[in-house]
Amino acid sequence: MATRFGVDVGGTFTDLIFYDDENGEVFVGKGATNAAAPDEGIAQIVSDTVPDEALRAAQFFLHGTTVGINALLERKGAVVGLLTTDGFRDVLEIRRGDREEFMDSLWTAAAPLVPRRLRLPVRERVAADGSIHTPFEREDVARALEAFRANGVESIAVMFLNAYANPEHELAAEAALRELGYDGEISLSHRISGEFREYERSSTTVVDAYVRPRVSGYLRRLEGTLNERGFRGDCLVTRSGGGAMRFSEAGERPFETIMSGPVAGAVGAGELCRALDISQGITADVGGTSFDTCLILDGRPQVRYEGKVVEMPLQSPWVDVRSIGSGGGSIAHVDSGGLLRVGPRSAGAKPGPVCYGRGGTEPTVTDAAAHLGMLAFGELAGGLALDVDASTAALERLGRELGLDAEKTAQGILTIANAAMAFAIRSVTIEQGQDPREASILAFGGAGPLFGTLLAEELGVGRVVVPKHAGNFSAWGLLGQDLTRSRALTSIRTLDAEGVAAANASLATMFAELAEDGSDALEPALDLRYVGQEYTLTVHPRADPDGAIAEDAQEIETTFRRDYERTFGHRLDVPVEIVSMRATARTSLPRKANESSAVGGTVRPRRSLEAYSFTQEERVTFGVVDRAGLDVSEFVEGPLIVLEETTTTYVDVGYRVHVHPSGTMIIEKKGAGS
Amino acid sequence: MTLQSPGTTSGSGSAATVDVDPVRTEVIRHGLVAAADQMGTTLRRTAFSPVIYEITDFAAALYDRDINLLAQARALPLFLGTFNHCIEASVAKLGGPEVLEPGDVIFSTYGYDIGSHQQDATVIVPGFFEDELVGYAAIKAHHMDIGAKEPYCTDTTDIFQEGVIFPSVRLYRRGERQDDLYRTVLANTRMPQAFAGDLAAQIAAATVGLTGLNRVIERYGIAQFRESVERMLEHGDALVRTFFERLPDGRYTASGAMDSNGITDDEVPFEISVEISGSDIVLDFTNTPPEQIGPINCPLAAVVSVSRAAILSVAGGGESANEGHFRSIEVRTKPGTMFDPQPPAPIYLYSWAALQALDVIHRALAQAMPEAVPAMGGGDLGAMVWWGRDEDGTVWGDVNDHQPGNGASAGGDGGSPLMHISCSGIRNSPVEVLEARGRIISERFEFATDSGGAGKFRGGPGVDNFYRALRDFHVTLPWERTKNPPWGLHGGLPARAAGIELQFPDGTTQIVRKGTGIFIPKGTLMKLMTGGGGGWGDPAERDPAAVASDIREGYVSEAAARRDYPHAF
Repeated sequence: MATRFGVDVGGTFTDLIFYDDENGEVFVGKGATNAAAPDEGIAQIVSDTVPDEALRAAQFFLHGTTVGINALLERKGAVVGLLTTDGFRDVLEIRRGDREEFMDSLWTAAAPLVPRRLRLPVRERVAADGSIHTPFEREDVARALEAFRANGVESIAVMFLNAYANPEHELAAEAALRELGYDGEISLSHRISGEFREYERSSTTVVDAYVRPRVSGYLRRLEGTLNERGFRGDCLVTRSGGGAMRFSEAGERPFETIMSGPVAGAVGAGELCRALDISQGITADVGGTSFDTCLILDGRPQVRYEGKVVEMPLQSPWVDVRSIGSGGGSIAHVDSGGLLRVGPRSAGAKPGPVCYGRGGTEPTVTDAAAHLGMLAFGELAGGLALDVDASTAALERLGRELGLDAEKTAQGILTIANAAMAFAIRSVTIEQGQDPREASILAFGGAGPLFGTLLAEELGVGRVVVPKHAGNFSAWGLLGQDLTRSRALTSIRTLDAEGVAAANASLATMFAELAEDGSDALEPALDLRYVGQEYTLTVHPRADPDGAIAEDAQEIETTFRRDYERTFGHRLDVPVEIVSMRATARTSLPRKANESSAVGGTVRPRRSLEAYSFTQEERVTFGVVDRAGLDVSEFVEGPLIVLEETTTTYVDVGYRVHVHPSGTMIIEKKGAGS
Repeated sequence: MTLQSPGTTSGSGSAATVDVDPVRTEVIRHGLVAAADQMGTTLRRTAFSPVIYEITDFAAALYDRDINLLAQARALPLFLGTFNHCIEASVAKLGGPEVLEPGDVIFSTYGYDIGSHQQDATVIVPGFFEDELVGYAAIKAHHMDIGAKEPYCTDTTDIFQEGVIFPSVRLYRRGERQDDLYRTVLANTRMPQAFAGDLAAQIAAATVGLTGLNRVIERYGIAQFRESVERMLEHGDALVRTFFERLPDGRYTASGAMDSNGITDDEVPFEISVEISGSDIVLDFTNTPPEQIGPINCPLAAVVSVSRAAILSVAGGGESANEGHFRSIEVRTKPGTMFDPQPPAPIYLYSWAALQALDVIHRALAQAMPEAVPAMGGGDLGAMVWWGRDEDGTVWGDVNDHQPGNGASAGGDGGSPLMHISCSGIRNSPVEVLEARGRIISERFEFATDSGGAGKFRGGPGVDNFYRALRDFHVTLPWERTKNPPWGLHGGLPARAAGIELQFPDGTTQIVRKGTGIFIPKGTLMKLMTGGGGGWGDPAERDPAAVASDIREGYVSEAAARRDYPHAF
């Protein structure tokens, strides 16, 4: 029994889902995001949605936050002071020399988070093998601290070269700062990331120091507010790499929350794949401005270990959710070469698509769908109606530039947006050596279910899954997470018996730090590569209960060579080496009991309208039904438009729908054989 | 010699083929760009040498059967549209397209065909759809060694010293590796294991690209595919023409100079003219010095690709380029000059001449459009190539680039140092990665005060990179712009020039400009100082608050600020 609720704060809306484990009941709430004070917005939506009694009974609050990333986007973080190895003061600003826009000779890098006057050198040097090359000079720390105090520094980052190999000097710097009376936040690079590459580790450490006061303050306030309302359970926040951590830990490792936002949907999709026994899933999360996709293999969303956010690299695990600027609000236009383009500019919430009647004049993906009848009669929640005529007029205007009528223009917009999404999916799957045709598409987000069968057709996929609460699925995904903690350490060794023993020694140290009462799985992983290569593949060997690797070097090597071949299509006759060790301690939350399969909402009689079929390339009669009225036992043949509160599902000719006992809607291509 | 893209329409503006479905064309364009990108991803992730996966010194592209560029992976702009000549020459040498068969893999290292030095070994794989030749996947990648007189050289006098020539040979026939040939290739490199690994990665990447091409053709059929490709090329052409139509017609000339030709120490000045008339643009290299005895000659194919990069880095609008983007560009050269040398003239350092040419083209364009280009960045890559032997006799090799300061522009200061725009995919190697290999330790990696050019907007500072050798090895340092400082624009001042100083353990020092195979005994300190970025606009117009900030942050010393910005005090 574990009653819980989740709140996902997005750019436009804050979504809440409350799940009562006693009776399987679910409350759903949606409110405008309060960007200036998200905790107040959350308090409001909790008050509006969750009865006091239910809140007191809840055991877990699970949260996805954008506070950290917003601090970076808006450059409203702490004043950070950075201690560096003498001679390496500018690592953060020198970067690696590459450009975000590789063919733009006018591109320049954004200013670093720490200005040069607050990046101060300390005489010390550790060599790559961990030996001390130059002893640590405490007086340099004292001098730097004076400068930091004079400049109002709130948070100090320490980044010494090769600290991943020996953290002695970073620890000495921390001790010195404390002895000198500094009581503010400190981020040490070796604690943030045990991996090599000084620019990437500097960037990660500085991001951590920069968002730390804001994120920890926010989490403290939020927990206080919930406690005042009577909540007595655990407060957890999603990590960028999936899984959740307690607010107290998030305050210590705030950089791990940076990509918290889009992760929950992928984690929820992973859970759904396990429940439905889908071995290869691809998420299609389409919101107002972006399309997010993630590959899910054997119920596990793919995780990467180096990412980038707002041009800043982060050495942190993160669920590999790829985003392109293609969503319901993406604006269509004709470029100077005379081709039709869709996005990346979006009409957003204001003014929104033309059919919202809030002042938008440029046709969007939503306008094209409305014109084509894919949104059925255009009824919105609250009795509002879409102005389809306005969409048509805007499409006509755009079409004139191309010599196309509104109908062809609308088809073109959907086709191009769909192609862009399909190519994003293809890149994600092909990079992992997977064939997208064998996958199921998991469509959610406000506009995802509109594109489900279009994507299936483009990619040759036979099955589309539309989860319950598809429009709020990211909030739902929060509820199924485990508590996880993880660390990594770079130490390059040959993959042999000795190497595995050494890796186990390092893992044991990391697990000793990570494991807590109730940890029920200690999961080791190894980053391996062929000797001579740089990039690594991560393998997950079997483990003993204490987290020690239970496979011998030969077995691990076999797995690596197999995964490598799957990913890259060839094998190399070269020895394999260990580059980094990764330790994850997992504490499962109590499983949710079987929840009710009922989907809320009105049930109206079946209706119909003429809408455009992409498989038939003409308008045909689509049935229009309410999702709440679909029966678990029967197949309903497309063409069909399925309505529910927060999203609309478009089922093209050639597909049929049935409802799984869990309430999940499954769309299959007829004759696909599965 | 005049060279234009195939299918050039002379100054026709944007005559679009309106009856071709613009939606299908856009979808096909997406598909081809994605396929080319996947070639790049595959190569990077499977390559052996850091120079490929870390420095992205490669080109990967898809062409149609008429040798029109369809799409190219995001890597080195220097290699933009680099394969036209190579594919043409290779197919001709083998006896025409009709002799090609599915499963053939063509391999070339001939510098005058590939438009690169010979270690940029090129793989071309013809693509077939239902037994019909439909296009080519082409990949060139920098290999650590293909048997040049040294693993990297600055002093060659003909191409035979620059690496073994494989003149478009079939390394695979109908999918069968030609083992006699393969062993010959590997027998001619000092690093056969790395070479074999990188070559396998090239072939894997080409295969991935052709799979993507076939997927597009399969979806739409060959006829519709070809129709849309032509419409796509017209679209690219129109984009570039729209940009140049806005510029005033005229002939704009600018000059630059190479430090030396690698054999003698004299500077080698040259000039390039840019002629704009309507939407047509001519890049005129005819007034350049004769072929040089040292390796700074730049073969025609490389002149064409760097010209394309020069234009598209200003006028391309961030698009993935195709052959259409090049149709408005005409390149004029004179055979027997440094920018159209004839075999067997040495070309090993061709790319350094190409980098300087790109900067000079931008300097000329600045006259037509002051906002379009930045002042000169440090003008070089700051490359270092070093190699030695392990105790067991195995030869190892390593390479790193060191980015110079970035030029200021009308938009603001130069900011962080960046790789030269022609090599913008390149990243430096992290110090911690270099040190993990145990051969060097870095003693400094930091900005040099006062190294950026003064101006209304200040050029970005150059970087001091100091390395201490932890064992004996050899090094080649092919540096440029150690004599002529990077220029400012529109009244902005020049920046610090690049420089190299070696301090040997015996107390002697050596200043290096271009050095090949210099012996570095253990304990030597190598000081590599990259140039700064030039300033933009009159320093007298710099905001005094910005000057004060420069001093406070330590980018500019107070003495230099008083000299260059007296109005701020």
